[in-house]
Amino acid sequence: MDNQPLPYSTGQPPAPGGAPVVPGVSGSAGPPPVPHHHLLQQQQAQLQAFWAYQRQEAERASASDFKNHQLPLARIKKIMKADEDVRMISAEAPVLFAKACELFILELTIRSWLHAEENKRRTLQRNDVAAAIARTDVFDFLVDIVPREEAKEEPGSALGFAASGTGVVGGGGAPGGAPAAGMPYYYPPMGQPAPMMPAWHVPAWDPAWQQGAADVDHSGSFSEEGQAGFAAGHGGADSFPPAPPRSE
Amino acid sequence: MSEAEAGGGSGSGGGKEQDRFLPIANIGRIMRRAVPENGKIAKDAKDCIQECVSEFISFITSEASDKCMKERRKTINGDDIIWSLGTLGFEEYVEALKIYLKNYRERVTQRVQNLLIRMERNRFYSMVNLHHCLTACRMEGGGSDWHSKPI
Repeated sequence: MDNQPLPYSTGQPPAPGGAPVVPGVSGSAGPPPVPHHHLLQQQQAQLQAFWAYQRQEAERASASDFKNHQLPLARIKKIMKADEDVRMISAEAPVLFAKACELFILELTIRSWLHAEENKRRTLQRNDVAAAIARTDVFDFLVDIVPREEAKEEPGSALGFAASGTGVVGGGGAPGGAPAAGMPYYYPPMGQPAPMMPAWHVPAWDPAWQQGAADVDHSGSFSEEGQAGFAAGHGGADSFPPAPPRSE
Repeated sequence: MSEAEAGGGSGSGGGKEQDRFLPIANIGRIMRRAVPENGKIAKDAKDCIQECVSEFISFITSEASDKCMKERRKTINGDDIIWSLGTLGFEEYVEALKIYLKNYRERVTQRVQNLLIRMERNRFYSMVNLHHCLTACRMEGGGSDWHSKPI
């Protein structure tokens, strides 16, 4: 596939306010903070846009893409053959794996990056990868590769996720049990409209997977009103969930 | 990560360790695409993902291999891999890869067809060439000459 980087708007570092989660104690004055599940919805939307883009890219695969792969086929084949039960491998299998590994690396990196952003860092670290693995069910098989102790939440972090990684994405209802940090989360009851959040800050990471998405002119479909609050100063991401890439 | 083997070359000893992983440069390049312009990637994160990718390959391969064994097939093909990805929870990958595989197969089929056409054409031309040579010989010297030439 193409080697083009996925274009991002030039990021501002997330405001110190970030996406805070209020300990569910009563008596918090001032504007209500961003509920945790809004961040998850946003992240979920970004990931969905990523997959839509990948499907599109697969359609556009040209002949040269099958010859020049991002990853060496011989090495992939060697790794496959490390398994004693594996006997013969068709020629298309390493080709397909090259693509699958590419998707895997992209997804794991994206998810890790989301964690780094939550902790207000611009450098992806091993503990971000560990956190991404812990949060995502599909990556359970990696739990031994990257031990959970690595995924320490930084003390200043507002979002300490439960280590179980179950049901975190999409925020399905109440969290099961106390989070690892021992901090109770505030979840508004389902079905109620979300409060307005002028303090909502969109992470600088713009899910602009598509080329030439800098000219985003489609209006945002962010469910909350009060978009003006966060559009200021932010590069181009006016749409949530972001529209699938338009074909040029 | 194991040390690079002194004296380069293929295969045994220290080099074998690295064969368990995909090259970190390639992995780093792909990771770069998933991170904003001003983002940085620590080396330990790259190493970590390098290990994860190999584990991913082994994980999927194992499942595909089991399927082949159950169905008494010897060769793992692309459909087995796609099936395994779906079974193990990577449904998102399935759609994109199905399209990718379909395109790949079409290209391969096309290339094979082109090759066959070329081979057939070459064969035809060789035959024509031979025919011309034989005709030319007959016209020049006559048949007897050809057969009774002293060695």
